[in-house]
Amino acid sequence: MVLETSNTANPEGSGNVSDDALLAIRVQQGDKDAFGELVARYQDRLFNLTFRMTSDRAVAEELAQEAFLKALEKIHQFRHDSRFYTWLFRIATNLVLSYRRRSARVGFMSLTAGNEDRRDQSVEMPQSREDGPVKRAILNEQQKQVLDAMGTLAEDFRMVLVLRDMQGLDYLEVSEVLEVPVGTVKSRLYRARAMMREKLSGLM
Amino acid sequence: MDNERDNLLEQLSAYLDGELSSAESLTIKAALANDASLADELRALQTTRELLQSIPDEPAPDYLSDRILAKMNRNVDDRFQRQPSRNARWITYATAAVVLVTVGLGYLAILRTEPGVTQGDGLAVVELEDPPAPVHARMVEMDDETETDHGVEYEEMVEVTPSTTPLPVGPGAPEEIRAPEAIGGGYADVALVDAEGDEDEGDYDYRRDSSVAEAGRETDDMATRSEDFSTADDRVDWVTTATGVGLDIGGADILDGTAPGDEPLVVVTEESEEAEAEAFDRALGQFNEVLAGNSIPVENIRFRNNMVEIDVVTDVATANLVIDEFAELQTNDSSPANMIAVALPAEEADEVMPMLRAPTAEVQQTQSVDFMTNGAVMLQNQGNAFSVGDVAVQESVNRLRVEEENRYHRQVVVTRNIAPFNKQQADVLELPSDHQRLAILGKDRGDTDEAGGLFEEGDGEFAAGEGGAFTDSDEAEPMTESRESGELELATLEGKRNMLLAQKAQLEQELEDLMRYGSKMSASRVSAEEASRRNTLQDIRKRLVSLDEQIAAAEMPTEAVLAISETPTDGVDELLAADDLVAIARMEAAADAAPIAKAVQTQKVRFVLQEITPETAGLYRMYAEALELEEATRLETYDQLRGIVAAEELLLDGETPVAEQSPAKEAPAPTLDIDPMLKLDAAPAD
Repeated sequence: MVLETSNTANPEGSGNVSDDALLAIRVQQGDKDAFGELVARYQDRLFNLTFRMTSDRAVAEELAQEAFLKALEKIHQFRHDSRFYTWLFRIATNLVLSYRRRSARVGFMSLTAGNEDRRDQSVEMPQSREDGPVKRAILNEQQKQVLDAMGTLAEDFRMVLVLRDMQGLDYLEVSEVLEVPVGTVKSRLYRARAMMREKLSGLM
Repeated sequence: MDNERDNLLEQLSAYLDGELSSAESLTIKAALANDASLADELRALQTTRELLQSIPDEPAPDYLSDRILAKMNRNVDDRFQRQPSRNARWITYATAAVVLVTVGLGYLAILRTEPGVTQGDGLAVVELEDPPAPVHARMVEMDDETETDHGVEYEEMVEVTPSTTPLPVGPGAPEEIRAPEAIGGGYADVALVDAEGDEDEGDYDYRRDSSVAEAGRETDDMATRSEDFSTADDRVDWVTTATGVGLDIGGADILDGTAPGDEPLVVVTEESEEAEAEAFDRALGQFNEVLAGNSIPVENIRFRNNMVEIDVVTDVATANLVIDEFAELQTNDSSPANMIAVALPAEEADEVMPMLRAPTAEVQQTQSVDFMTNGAVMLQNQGNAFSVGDVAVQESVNRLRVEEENRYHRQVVVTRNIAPFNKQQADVLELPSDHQRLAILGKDRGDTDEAGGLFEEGDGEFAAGEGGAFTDSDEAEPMTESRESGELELATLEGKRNMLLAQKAQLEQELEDLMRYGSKMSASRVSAEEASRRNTLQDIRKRLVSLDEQIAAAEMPTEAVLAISETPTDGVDELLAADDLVAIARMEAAADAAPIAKAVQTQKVRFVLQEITPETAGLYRMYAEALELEEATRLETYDQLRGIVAAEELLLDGETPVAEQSPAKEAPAPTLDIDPMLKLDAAPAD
């Protein structure tokens, strides 16, 4: 077992890596409070991940919840060879990908609806008090176009964009989450961005 | 040149993210200085990245952590205490599927108000009333629409009463009310579904009952299947036409009608309600434990007159685990449930079905709208039922009256491992003259499940003809216990052979499916599929070895036909006298009970078992060799497919295979020497 010894803060500063490792150990020993702390640390990021991949708040909540519970269930399998949150993200991405594939088949996925959901959220969320209504409207429209464009991407490409450009993971972390080589991350990320650039040419 | 450019562009993206080494960055900088288009590309990528990063974070709702922790508190003890070994078998290849798992208990019409299932949040329990005595044909609304993961469902109950007027059936009946195809005998529960998948009234079509067992997977090919059997050399035809009123009430199934020659035919299959209720609770409890053991939350439960349907959402691998575990309970005869069925939304069925434990699963495409009939009036029932070894096939067309309209229901029931029968498992009502071979099986789960069969159909009635497990013989002599045992064993072997033949056909179908879908699969799915199939094939190989040993060990009978003949008993009288014959009482309370009392008089069981010749035994061996060859071919095909898909995926990723693969990161492809299931655990190794 290799425990994290550095105090490297993970992206977004959600938690301290070594703290995460200690919390994980406590959870492995049956400490429910430690699990609660991990939930508090990562629920926003995990929800954000699932929401960006599903565009559906209710589904995102369910998937985030399931990811935490599955992590709890499998905590004895966490060997501290990787960072806790990348392990957690891996569980979440697997759940998301399973969901998306299933939904794609049964027609549950509604990217448009999700984006409408997103658009509604954006409208209610002023970006800045200094922004005037016109500017906010433009920004909202711009974000909607970005989300729409993302919604058209294949899940592998969409996932890498979410993890890298929205979640701020570095390439190695993305590769750990997606269980692909770093080279694949690099390749996918370029392709995903290139596709997005093409779809968003009107904004450039 | 293009490759170089592509590499540069990929590097450009990484350069933007600061993910290049110093040397690589210098190279990019030099290229940017000399190539204006590359600089434009970099700016475009940067703008794209900024647009993506401009999307604000979406905070989790305030209640999410509370909800998670609440759920944890409900489950955590179990989760901490659970041993990991079983979970370690989970695999992640399968995409999530909406799986409808159905546990059915034959003839259980009692609706349990305390089913013994832990009812968590959001668990919708639809408890139907005990069906009242039929009074008249009318529709009774039972429940509002229920939205489930696989569509909108609603349930209705049809109340009917037997017709008191003579039934216009039989050979002389008017053409318009005769069943379209006279192919079957017996009847079973009937489920109806709107053919259009909507709730329009008046256009309901009969679907196959979910309790109908089928060895194969192509439920749409039932007609073809029957043709296959009819042309088989070893098929024994025994055709009868029975007409009458069929009821499924209380703990009894009753067919009151006439057989050819206008002979009265009454079939009563009865179970003690109390015993059934206990069995029901026990089976449901067992199944719930299996679900809980695999951490599968119950989404919804619907109780119907003889079964419970449990909606769960899980991945295919986990569904297969559930199937295996429950099948194991059944195989060990420790579960009273006589069936488990997995139903999938039609949209998913084509893709997911091949991934389910096909040889063991009862898989059925289904629409989302269905309802059960409780006591539809069966106006006409024609069919053909026969058995070969321990495989019984029942084809039937039922014409029923629902809301004053004639409906037709055609079904084929294929049952495996019905042998060895014994008297306790078969209620055979003595029928006049040439109908003595009708065997009505109440609950005929097989005691073995060598093929990994999931369940043995017990809801239907089966008749066996000459050459099957049951025939009639005037020259029959009492069979000694040891001889009976030996003959039953041989009958089982015969059945195994047929089962394996069916399995072979299924494997061929699976192979075809794989070829069809394989190119669309991801590499991991193919690998997992391969792992699953290999396990299956290994199981088959073991069974074949075992089969060969049994064949070698079995003593070949010298007599072609042996029989058990039992003297008539008063079993039916006892049946009628039993306190728990609520169903019969209901029937008697209904308008027309006289035919039952008239016809149900004596009980007789006749067993005749077929000889298995050395030639037949030779067939077993030939088949085993064929399967071996097939296995080798399949493995080779899988390897090829895996290579193709892996190459495609790499191309999709824009990678050069080998060069960019990090051996340490890539899961090794499963090999025959290593249990591949262990490498595909649902919880990622960190």
